[in-house]
Amino acid sequence: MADKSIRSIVKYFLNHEKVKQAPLPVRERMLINFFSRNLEMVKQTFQGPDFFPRTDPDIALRSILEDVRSAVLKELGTFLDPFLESRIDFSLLKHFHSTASDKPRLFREKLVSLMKVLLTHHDVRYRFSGIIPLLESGTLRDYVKVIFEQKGYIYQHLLNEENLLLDQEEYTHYLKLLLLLKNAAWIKVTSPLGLKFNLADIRHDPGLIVIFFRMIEKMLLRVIPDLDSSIIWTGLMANVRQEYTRPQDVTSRLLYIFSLSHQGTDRPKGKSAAAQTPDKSRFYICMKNFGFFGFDVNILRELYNIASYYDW
Amino acid sequence: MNEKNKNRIILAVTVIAVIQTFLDDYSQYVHSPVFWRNLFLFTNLFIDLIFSLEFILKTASAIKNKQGKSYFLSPAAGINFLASLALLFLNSGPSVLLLLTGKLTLAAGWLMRFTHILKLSRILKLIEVFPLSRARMTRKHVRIILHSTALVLLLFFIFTSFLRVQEIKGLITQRSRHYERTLYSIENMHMTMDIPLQTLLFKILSNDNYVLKLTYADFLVFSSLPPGKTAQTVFYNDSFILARAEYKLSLSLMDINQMEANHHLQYFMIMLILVLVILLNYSRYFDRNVSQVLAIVTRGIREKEDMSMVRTEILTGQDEMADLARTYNEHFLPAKQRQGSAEELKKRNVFTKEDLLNFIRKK
Repeated sequence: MADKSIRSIVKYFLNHEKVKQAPLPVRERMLINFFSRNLEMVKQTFQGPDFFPRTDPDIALRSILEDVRSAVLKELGTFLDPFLESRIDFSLLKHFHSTASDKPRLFREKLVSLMKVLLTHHDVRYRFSGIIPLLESGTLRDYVKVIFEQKGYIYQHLLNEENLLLDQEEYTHYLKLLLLLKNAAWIKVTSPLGLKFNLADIRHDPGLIVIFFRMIEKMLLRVIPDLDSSIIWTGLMANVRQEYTRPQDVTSRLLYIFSLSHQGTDRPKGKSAAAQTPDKSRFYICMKNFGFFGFDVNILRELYNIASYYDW
Repeated sequence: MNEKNKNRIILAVTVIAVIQTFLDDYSQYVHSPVFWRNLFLFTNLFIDLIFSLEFILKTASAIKNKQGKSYFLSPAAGINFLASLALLFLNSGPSVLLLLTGKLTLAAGWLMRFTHILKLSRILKLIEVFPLSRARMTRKHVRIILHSTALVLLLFFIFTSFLRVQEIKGLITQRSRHYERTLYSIENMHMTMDIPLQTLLFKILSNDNYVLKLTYADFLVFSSLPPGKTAQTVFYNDSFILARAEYKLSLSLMDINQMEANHHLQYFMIMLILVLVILLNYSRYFDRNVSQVLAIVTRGIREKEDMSMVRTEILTGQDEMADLARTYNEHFLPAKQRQGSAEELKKRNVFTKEDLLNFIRKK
């Protein structure tokens, strides 16, 4: 089978007019959707003279998806490597009774390996693309600064419920670390009965969510043994509705709001006098949808007030 | 020269033309020295020549692009024509010509007195060249409003200007008759009272503010004309000569001219205020309350990731736009966020069999 043909078909779909505005992992998702929903038709077409008549259509399909995956991983790698190298300070781990803070370089290497493992799952890649704008921008730093200065609802709950020991700077890095870890909840695991599932399949069952998260926790600890369990749980809990979180999961609820409200959105181009500021718009819309998504409305209200006050 | 620079130059010339029009009328109103009034006459010609050139180039370009008919039927073409060729041939051109040839007669000035009102079209030219909002709807809407209101005003001013010319003709005739009667009375007094005619003429008329100069049988009785050049612009002759029998009276028109300049200044200010208020104030209001709202809503509908709300607090009044903005904020955007959630997006199937087959066609 000609690699050239595979590459050209991959290039064609990834640069297609219908999806070219979307991030690469989202485009990958759309392609997977298309192939899985039209499997028979795609296989038949691939057997035609214009595609791969001498190749098994399953192999052709697998090669295409493998090529797409390589492209996505390459792109995510160009963001992740420098990000982990210079944008997160792991000294915060000293507050979690972790030995990792003594050897930040080693911890970073283990985290890179973990991310590589996680990103082999297309659902994780797909979710991860949504949080890149949040990690790249200074949004988290700006909000954390105000939350710590105002000492309002969020700060009080972080202090009293979560017993937070981090200072403002450390907390920003903590949120970044959690954002990287939270998508581990979207890997597919195999149940003892042989069923493959991830969070999307069990997200309405709090009991199953806990069991599922324990499985993920074990898996993560296998790659990074000195990662504190509380960090893993805070990260994983940032994927579920407020009702399923524990009272101490204030950071999880905060991250859940941030990751969904800022999902895949960049700052809008061009200013308009009649347009509301981007963050104020996002948090207002989230307040309208708090029941649908399961946001903590008190946290949301404080974020909305901050965005209103600072015109963010 | 690119289009942007051309527009900047025309905007600068238009602003200068508007200021010049005001100063021209104001110099008549305060009766400034002849030099300045004649200078404004020449600058009028210069401005009209530039606008005429622009009009000809625009017309040629429209014809070349096969848009001649639509251009000629547009209000912009009408305004450009009035502010260029119409003024050049009916006002500034003949004025300068008559001034240079020295044929300054009151009769020749009637047309210029009447067509002087067309100078208001220079203010209307601001509508065409003023850099309005980038929103096409604002530009279109503001121009329609301005064209309609300004056209009504201009027509009204042209009509009143026509009436004023008749009124001035009446005032001049009245003034002529008055002095004809005065001369007749002086002659009677001379014959009945046996006082020398020149003494009577001097005593009675030398203190009259309207009589600038009097000669009898080519002999100068008195003159209150200032030394130096007294020849005036064609449009506003400072005086006119009443010649009866042996008498030649130079009668002042200053008060009539000032009255007319006063009217022109009033028309000018009304037109300028109207145009500026609509250009600067209403266009901003319309842009913010209508065009920008529509742009935000359109972008929000079209672009998946755009979640910008409309700032309803700046929308004035409970109108349809405010309703649209509220519905967009309160219903559309939340629904869009729900639909755009990762779970929903994941289910989306954007490609079709046709897309797969198109790959071959493109190859």
